Formats: sequence, structure tokens, C-alpha cells
Amino acid sequence: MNDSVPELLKRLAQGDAEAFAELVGRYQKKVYYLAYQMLGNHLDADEVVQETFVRIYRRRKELSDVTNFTSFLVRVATNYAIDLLRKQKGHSRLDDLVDLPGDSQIEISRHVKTPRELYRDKVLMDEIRRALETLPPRQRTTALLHDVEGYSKAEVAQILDCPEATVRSNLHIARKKLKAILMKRLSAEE
Amino acid sequence: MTCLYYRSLVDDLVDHELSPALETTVREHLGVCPACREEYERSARLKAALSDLTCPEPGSSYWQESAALIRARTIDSSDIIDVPTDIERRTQERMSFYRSLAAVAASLMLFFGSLMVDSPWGTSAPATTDLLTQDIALSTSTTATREMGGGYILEDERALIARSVLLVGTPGMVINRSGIMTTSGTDRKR
Repeated sequence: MNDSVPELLKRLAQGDAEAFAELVGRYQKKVYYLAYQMLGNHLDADEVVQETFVRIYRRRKELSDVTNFTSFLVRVATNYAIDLLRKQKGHSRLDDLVDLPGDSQIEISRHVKTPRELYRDKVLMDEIRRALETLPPRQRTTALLHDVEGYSKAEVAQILDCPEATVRSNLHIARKKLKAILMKRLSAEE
Repeated sequence: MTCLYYRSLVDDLVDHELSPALETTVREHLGVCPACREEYERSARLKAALSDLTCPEPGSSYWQESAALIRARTIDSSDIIDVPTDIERRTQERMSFYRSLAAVAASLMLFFGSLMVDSPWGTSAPATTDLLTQDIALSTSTTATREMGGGYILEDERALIARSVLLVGTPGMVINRSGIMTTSGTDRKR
């Protein structure tokens, strides 16, 4: 099936269930990775994926009017992830690797180039994640969407439904805090 | 220009959002100010580290299992409740508003209608109930009071007020022949 996204949305709005399955297949990874970056563990990321697509399906009748489906989808996902962060419902990151299914461990090991690289990357990623976890939900989401996911400030403003000036301000504060926390690491890498 | 000014532009420089002229000015300052250059380098390293942030793959079977669960919760579920579209929501709100408006209009018509029937300006209806007989008696006494020109509140106005209170007052409240409000069962003076 090679339908364009607007075609799929139109078919879904008309009640075509297969169009929805196709959209899930195309976008579930995007939602999962974003949710994982925001929440830092597999269980919460999985919950965001499930809830995002259930919400999208419940609003399928209005999807034919959506001009930018990716922004719409990311908005639904980030809103739910921010809710989870605010409720502090998140699961512990330490439990995460233990909870992953067996083949996930194998999958992770496929990314390993050398044990030394793995260790260095893991230490760095862990430090950055820990630093990100100290930020309030809005600042964390803004930094992730802009600096990790690569959205422009205008797109982030659209996703978070706020003025671009707020995005700039949140991003500036988030970077300042991250730089303060990661000062040693950022200076040592010279 | 002070260092504070140049540091406020470091984020924009990292994001490549400065005009060419301003970028040249900032870079010239960075060339001569080690403190500002250090700040810029930390910002650039942070951005690079964030853009490299990855998350572990959840495993190949996860995507299929997740998609199957989403399908079970949406397409195959009979419990799914659709969110109304904007048009449906607006129609519902409009209908609800009109219903409320009609209810208020009907209440007002009943209220003022009953005032007109009982007042000396309204058409006298045949006295079929006790209450109307009382009202006629009160109206008769009005003329005498009016002729005497006594008091701020005329007898008929007092009857009108008593009647209004009766209409909106406590259930079971009635007015007796002397114009004193009583609750049904006991004759309690107010």
C-alpha cells in the first residue's frame, strides 16, 4: 500500500480500518522514540504509543481536515507524555532493561561496535538523560523536540500550542540548565 | 557592546539563526574573548550531544505486538467512543443553548402571565378558586385606600407583591383572606 498520508487520512475519516493500520505501521516508531526520549523508559514509551493511537482513532472523523499529520500526531503524543511526567507516574529507568523482552537485549547488542564505544556512549547518554530529567516537563519537551528530534522553533510552537517566543525562552533556560549540569563533561571533551 | 550582549546571541549562533552581518560581528568577538568563546563551544557541544542522543530498540517483535494491541483497542473494539467533531460539538452546544433559552422564556411567560391575570390591570377571570376570590376582595379594598391616598405601598401593590412571593416562594405557602402569608397546615404570621 503506497497511499499518501492525506489519502490515508481521508480513507480513515470515511471509516477504512486498514488505512488506520497503515498509519500505525508508518508512525509507531516515531512516537515510540520521542516518548522514550521524554520519559526515559520502555514501559512509559509503550503506554504513550498505545494511548496516542487510540486518541487518534477516536478523532478520526476530523483527520481529513488536518494539514500536517506529523505535527498533529506529535502533539497528541507529547501532551500525553507531559501528563505522565506531571503525574510523576513514570517508571524507574533502572527497571527498564530488566523489563525489556529477551530479544530486545539482543537488539541492543547489535548496536554495539566495540565494548569501549558502548561504555563511552552509554555513560554520555546516561549523563545527558539524567540532566534532561531534572528539567520541568515543558522545558524538557522543548529541548527534545528542537535539539534531539530536529524540529524548528515554529514547529515546536505549533506542537506545544504556544508562541514561538515561549519556545525560545524555554529552550534558552533548558540549555542553560543543561550546560550547568554537564559543565564538566562539556569542558572535558575539548 | 558587552560580553553579556554577545552571550545572549550564542544560542542563535549555534542554531544558525543570525543574519550574516551579525554572525560576522559575533564571531569577531569570539575571536578576541576567550570566555565568550568557551561559552559558545559548550553550547555547540551540548547541541551536538543532544542530536546524537539515541534510545535502545525495543526489539523486532515489539512493533507487531504493539500494532496488534492498538488494533484490538480501536478497530476490533466495540467499546471505543468517538470524540465528536468540531461541527458536531458546536451543534450540540447550540442545541443546548436554545433549549435553555426556551426554558427561560417559558418560565418568564408563566410568571408574567400569572401576574397579569391577578393584577388590577389584567382581565378579570371568573373567580373559580379561593385565591381569585381573595384577590378580588383585595382589589376592592384598594380603591378605598387609594382614595384616602395613604402609604407608600398601595393595597393592590401589596397584594401583587404577596402574589409574586407566593408564585416563587416556598411550596405549600398560601395567602389568607387578610393578605397574610401562611404555610399550609399552620397559620403562622410573618
